[in-house]
Amino acid sequence: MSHIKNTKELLEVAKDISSKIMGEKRESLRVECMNGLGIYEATIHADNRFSKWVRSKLKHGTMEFDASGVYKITITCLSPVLKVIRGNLNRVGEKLILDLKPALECDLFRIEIAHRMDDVDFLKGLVASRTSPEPLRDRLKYELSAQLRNPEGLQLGFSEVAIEEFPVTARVHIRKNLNLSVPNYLRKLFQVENQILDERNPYATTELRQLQHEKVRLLAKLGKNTSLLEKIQELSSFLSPSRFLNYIDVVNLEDFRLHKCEEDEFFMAFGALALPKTMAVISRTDLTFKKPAARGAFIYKSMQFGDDVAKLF
Amino acid sequence: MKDIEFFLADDIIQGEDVPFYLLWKGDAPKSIEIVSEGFKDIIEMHNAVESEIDVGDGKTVFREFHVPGYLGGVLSTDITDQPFVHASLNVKIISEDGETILLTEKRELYTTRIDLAKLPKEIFYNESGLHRNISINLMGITTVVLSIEELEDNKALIDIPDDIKEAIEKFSNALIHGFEKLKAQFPNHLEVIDYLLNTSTETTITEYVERIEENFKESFSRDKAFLEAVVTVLFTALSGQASVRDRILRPLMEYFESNAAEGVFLENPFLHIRIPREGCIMAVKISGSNILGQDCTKPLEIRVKVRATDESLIPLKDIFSIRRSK
Repeated sequence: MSHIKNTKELLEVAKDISSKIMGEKRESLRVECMNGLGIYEATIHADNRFSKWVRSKLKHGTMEFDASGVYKITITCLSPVLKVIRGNLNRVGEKLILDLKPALECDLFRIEIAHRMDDVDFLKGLVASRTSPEPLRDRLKYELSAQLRNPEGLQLGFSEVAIEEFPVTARVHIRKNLNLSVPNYLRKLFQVENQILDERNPYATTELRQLQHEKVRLLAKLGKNTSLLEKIQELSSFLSPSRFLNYIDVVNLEDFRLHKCEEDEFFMAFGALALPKTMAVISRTDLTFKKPAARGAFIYKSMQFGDDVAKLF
Repeated sequence: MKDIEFFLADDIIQGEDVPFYLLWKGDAPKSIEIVSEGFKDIIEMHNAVESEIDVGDGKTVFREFHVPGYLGGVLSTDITDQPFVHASLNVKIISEDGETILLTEKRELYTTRIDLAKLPKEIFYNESGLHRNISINLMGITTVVLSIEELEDNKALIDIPDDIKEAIEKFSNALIHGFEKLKAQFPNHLEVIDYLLNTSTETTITEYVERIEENFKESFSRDKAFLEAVVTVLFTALSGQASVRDRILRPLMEYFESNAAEGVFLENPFLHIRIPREGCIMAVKISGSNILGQDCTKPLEIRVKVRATDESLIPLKDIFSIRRSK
């Protein structure tokens, strides 16, 4: 499956299609970041010139496209009635054959050709974005921004260009909060458990008994019928990304929308449990020629997060 | 020109590249002049017509723009030994009718510097604990990851305790067994398998697993079948070989103990030092890196005599006391 890798390629594909379609048309390019699609869109007046071209220049009134990387082609009749035209697209080997004759019944119609994009590299070249690596001036605020790198590259030939749902990821470091919120007796418990397991002298009964006593004393603090592992698993499930969204305040997001949280960098504890070091908070924004740059910020409610962690113990 | 929006990123760590932009409505300006102080350079310019840019006298002047109402760019910064550096971006806009608009955004560029606050003549250890330790001062507010390495003239044995070493060895033997089998199934990935089978230099299993995972993620995100096979080998090795202690307790201790003080993480919290009875010289280098993984400070070289009543093995991190002053 070939994907479009950069702006130049998207433009070439779009221009190639554009040059094939005759008639009075308004064209635009749209990048849907969420779906990894680059979409060429043309709104065409099906006037006499257009119908003449379809009937006389096109073989059986059909157009051919290279099928590689094409995700979807849609033709929508906009006037006199709004409807999606179906059943006029066929695939023959590596070619897609689009029948334009049904479009002749419209006064105005829209053709949309969506290509798959190699989204990571493609988007990096289009947009410069940044988030605070760590909040410094205001201890809780993560700043976000995104701006078009190279609008002139996209402008060539297209009056409208839109980058939709561009993702900007902030890495929220939660490890510090966790370390500070987990009570000291828990750390002590790890050490005692470790010492018990580490004891290799079969005659060290007194030491072992002391350690066991200490362990029982510390376990009592955890609560009845709870083991250390259970408690840690409770912590681990508390740290679910969807729950973490509750600790993100979106009051200053401005041009951005909060999309989701993901566990980012993991501290692996080998299948038994996993504690995240950082949470990735993904926000999205739209960029166009009219709005080529975007800014915003979110607040990480770290106090509340720390308090809620402490409540688990 | 109206509704001018001037943006310069905030919370800047020294060494980082930061974006700025100007948006406006209405007529295009005659020129936009940018002067930066404290920043290193403008490394990217967005939407400016290149033939119409003048650089000189410490300022950059822009006269023409591709799409209307937008000028953007990226500034680079230097890593210095000053925890706070003042920086500003000054913009002078001259509109078509000659009106001048001045805009300024001021920022601090942050880093953390490590200083040796107190180095005792000798570090002595007995049953009641350590007498005197090396005191290190952190200047600045950014998060820092400290790593400790041995210098050439170091005579004290610095290593991870035998039981951790054993656990890594056991785990890596299980991996070798699994990877050898993969060699037959995936002959086109031989080179990487061999690379991963090299002896590890890591000090914890967590680090070892992370290295393997990272390498595979980067190299083989496109060969899903191979990636899945590797993940299976990894998890079989983990669940089959590691004990409860290796799987759960030790990683937890590492997670919670690597944080020595606020905003400081130790890269290798399990390093221990063997202090001989007759004493010897400990020579180590302490380096710090910022949250972006860049070296953020000049490394400290420390040489000190260590001595104990009886030969003892103690956590290396206990020898240091780390404080932060802002």
